[in-house]
Amino acid sequence: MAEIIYMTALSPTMTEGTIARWKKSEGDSFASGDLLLEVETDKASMDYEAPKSASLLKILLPAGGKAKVGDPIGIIGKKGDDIEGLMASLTKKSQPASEPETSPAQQPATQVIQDVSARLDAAIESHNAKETLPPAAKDVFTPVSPVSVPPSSPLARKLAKELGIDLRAVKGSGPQGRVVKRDVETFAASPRTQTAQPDVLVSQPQSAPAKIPVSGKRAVIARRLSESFFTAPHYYLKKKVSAEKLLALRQFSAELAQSTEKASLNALLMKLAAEALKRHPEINVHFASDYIEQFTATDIALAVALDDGLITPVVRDCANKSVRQIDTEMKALIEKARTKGLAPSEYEGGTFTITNLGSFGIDEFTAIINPPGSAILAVGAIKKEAVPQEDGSIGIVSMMTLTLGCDHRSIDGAVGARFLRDLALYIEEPASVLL
Amino acid sequence: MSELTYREALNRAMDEEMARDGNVFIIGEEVGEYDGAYKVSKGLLAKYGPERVRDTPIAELGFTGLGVGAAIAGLRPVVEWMTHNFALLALDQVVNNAAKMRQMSGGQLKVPVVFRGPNGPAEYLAAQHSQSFAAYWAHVPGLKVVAPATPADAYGLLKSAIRDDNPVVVLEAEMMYSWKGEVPDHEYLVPIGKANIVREGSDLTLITFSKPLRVTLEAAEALAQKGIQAEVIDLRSIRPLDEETLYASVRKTGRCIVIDEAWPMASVGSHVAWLISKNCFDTLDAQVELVSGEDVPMPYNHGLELLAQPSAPKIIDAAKKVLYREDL
Amino acid sequence: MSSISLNDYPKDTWLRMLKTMQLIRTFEEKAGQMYGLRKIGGFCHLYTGQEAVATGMISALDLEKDYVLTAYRDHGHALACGIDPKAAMAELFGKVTGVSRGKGGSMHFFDAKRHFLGGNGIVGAQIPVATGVAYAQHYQKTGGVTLCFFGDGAFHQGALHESFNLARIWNLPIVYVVENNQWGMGTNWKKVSANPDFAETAKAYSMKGYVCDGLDILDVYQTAQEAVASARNGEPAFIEARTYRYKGHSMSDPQKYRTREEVDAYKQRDAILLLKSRLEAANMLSQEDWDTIVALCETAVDEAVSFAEKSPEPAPGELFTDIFA
Repeated sequence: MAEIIYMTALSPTMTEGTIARWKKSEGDSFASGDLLLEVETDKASMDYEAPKSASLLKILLPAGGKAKVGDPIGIIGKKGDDIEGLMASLTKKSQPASEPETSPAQQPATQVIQDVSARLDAAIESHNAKETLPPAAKDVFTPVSPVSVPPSSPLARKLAKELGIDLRAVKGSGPQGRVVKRDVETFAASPRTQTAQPDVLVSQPQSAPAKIPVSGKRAVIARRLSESFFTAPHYYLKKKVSAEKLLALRQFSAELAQSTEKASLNALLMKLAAEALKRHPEINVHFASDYIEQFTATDIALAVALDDGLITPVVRDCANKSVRQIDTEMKALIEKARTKGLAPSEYEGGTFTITNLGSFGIDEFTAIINPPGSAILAVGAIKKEAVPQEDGSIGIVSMMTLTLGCDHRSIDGAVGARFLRDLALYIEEPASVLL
Repeated sequence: MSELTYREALNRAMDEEMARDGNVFIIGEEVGEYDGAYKVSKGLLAKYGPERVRDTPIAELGFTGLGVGAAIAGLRPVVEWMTHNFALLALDQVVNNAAKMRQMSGGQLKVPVVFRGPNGPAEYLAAQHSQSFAAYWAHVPGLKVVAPATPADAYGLLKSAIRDDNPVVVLEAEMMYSWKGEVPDHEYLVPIGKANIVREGSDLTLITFSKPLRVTLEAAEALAQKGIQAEVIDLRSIRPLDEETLYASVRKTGRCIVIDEAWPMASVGSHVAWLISKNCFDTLDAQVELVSGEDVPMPYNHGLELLAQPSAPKIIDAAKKVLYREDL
Repeated sequence: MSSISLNDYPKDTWLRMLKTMQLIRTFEEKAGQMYGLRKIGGFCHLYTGQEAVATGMISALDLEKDYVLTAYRDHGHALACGIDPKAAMAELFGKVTGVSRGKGGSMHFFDAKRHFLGGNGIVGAQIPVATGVAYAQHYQKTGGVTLCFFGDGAFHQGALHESFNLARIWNLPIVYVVENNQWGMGTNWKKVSANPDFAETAKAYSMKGYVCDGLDILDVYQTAQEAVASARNGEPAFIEARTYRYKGHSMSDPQKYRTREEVDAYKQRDAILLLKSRLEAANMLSQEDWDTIVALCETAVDEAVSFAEKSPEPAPGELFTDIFA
């Protein structure tokens, strides 16, 4: 059967060749390996050997002709073989044998490799292009701030980021001033670090936004509250309550003590909340991943705003203390926080938190749970409102809105609702705690 | 539990495996009548005969390649190299045949052969006989490489190696052969590819394998005296490498020292140090340190040769750097 | 020259060998073409001219229990062991349907089922491995023999000498066959052999040493039978088969070291033509028979190319398979 012979690669680098001379004429027969023609390549004159024993039926490309590797150059076969079909197939637009079909999903490895090397080439080219950029263009990449970040360990960087600490404010104790974990920790724990503004900030351009360094305390707030908010799924329950009897009780507290000093509203709320917690221990809990810790004491924290940020002094065991006792202890704690700062034992470990923005006239708000507790009570301002009374008349009543934030991992909606319902009852009818 | 030497543990492993599977045989120089150059195959010739405990001429290339051929034809050879130093003569057979025949045959062949013998520095042996080739084997895909550091692991890992359907290189050490340790009396396997947390700690991670485990534990003990709790991990298996155990530890401690008695360039230790640097980057509070053998041929002089190897003081020096503490 | 005659065996024996040789020849000629068209890459060593050695030797085996290992010029041995030309060509094309799933290429044909244990790309590296295969046969008393082929270039590798010694001290059932095609790449074997009589060197290992005319398949076949019988009886043997390769060492060999006249002179004694003319003289082969053989081989090889062309490339995920058992 006649077959086409093609220009082949006669050296590893050859891509095309020119036929110097055919050593056989049409009609000649030859044995496999006989010299069939000579080909000039980019480098040398090469022998083209007969691929098999046959006869030369047709020269497609005569001497002097140039062919790429894979181009047809002749037809060989047995004398008398029909070559018309082959000739026709050549003229009929001789696409090289079509590639086998492969689904796009099944991208051949060679293709992948070509793609990868193409990308590499592009990367190298673009890299080279960068290297030849004029100096002016290079300046684009110069950092704006002339002060660089001090050397720091990856862990220190990660920690600082979490705590919101600017590493430039931290003094490094490692080799060449490297900031390491312990430096960030020390910085975060120091109470007044926020005042030490690094020089760099002064030299900021006027138009640049002011960068206020993060104090250690701010960093702790940031970290603890982010952690709480982003790990504990919060939900909120709201209830409006009458504050009439609460205010009356407050008034009575002064009379009882024969003093002008009334018990603080917060102390009253802490006491009533503690009573409610005593009856609803399922609220006085901490979610610890693989178990839920139920606290035995009612250690209630109160969110207090100081100049340098929030603090949450804790009065321990409120259920077993009088309102007066709670009030006295809380006042002492707040005073200490303002002057000397609290020890961790004085602001950590609240099992329940109360936050009150009533003095700012805020009607109601939602708060972020203060771990380890699972719930926080946000108290709004007491305002007089027109409230329909039982008898159908309209009365003017002092009302306030309670918003209970709960961690759904440990406290389900109905559980939180029962607690808030009872707490509301104690606030509206404080005497009911005695019953 | 019995107290066995490392040598006895290896011997027990081979003895049990030969009794269990008639296709297991030992081949190497002096393994038979001499009872093994280091007496690891002691008594096995008497028990199993010369067909199964085969003394060879001094021809590492020949008998190593023979082991590969016997493995592809259905046997489970245990090829003993008198030392890994001599195995260089057989490197071609391990790298080009044992490791590749399965892949080159498109998965048709399996090569269940064990290559074992002492590796690493010993004593007074000078440059040609005191060197670690762990990285040579570990570099090659298609091989498994294990390095037992205790008699218990020597027993359990060698048994796993013999039962593995792939070529496994076992790194032993001349100095370890006489070390003693508790070995359970019942039969067990130590899986290939699982590292061992030898000592738990929270302050820094010390990663090592083979003989240097001993100096590493000494260093950990000295650090503990100063209140530093080092976690010590014995790789046991170098290829495959139990990366997750390493990362979990370093993510906990934030500090890592790798101890490898081989030369530092392109070593198992340098590779592990790179992996830690790459995969624990955000949790590192210090650079990863490598305590390696010094980058010199081993000298004969005893003082010099000790100086060339990892030691507890060298590890403690590295600990000072990663802990940022000069006072240790 | 062999002392056996065609009549010592049934006609079919010879016709089968003739067909195998012609299949190898046709396959290799096509492989050369495909290489020129860049369908095949890398190192590709053609067996053209040496067909009688693999064919005659392997014909003397019982591949139910015997094994064959060879070097990188392995297409002929693989085909002689019965490997499908389709799987062989697909391997050259690097396709997943290849005999080694496209991972071995020209030098690493394997077919474990047919007891063909490779193709090996390192000169002489298969010799210790083959010795180990024979060790396993001896150990398991299978009655099998291993046939280990290598070229004259491998003769001076330490691996060979270590293996000869091991085979003899343990009396392994192995036949070592040096296919002396006279050119180790571009180096003539005489130039690099302290003793150009290889069989004599084998005798230095107390091993039986045979010499046969590798272009005369009768001689090859007869020698192989004797050597295999000896090995089966526990005495390893060695054969030097003097032969000649028509093509360069590999596809990129300009062959400046030898003349076209030398090549042409050997083609006058072509192994296939030699057997063909003898069969014709003995009235065992008609022109029609020959034409049929040629046509069958051409068809088989054309189908192999078309199969290889159409076969899929290995998926990228194949990169990580077949490494561990």
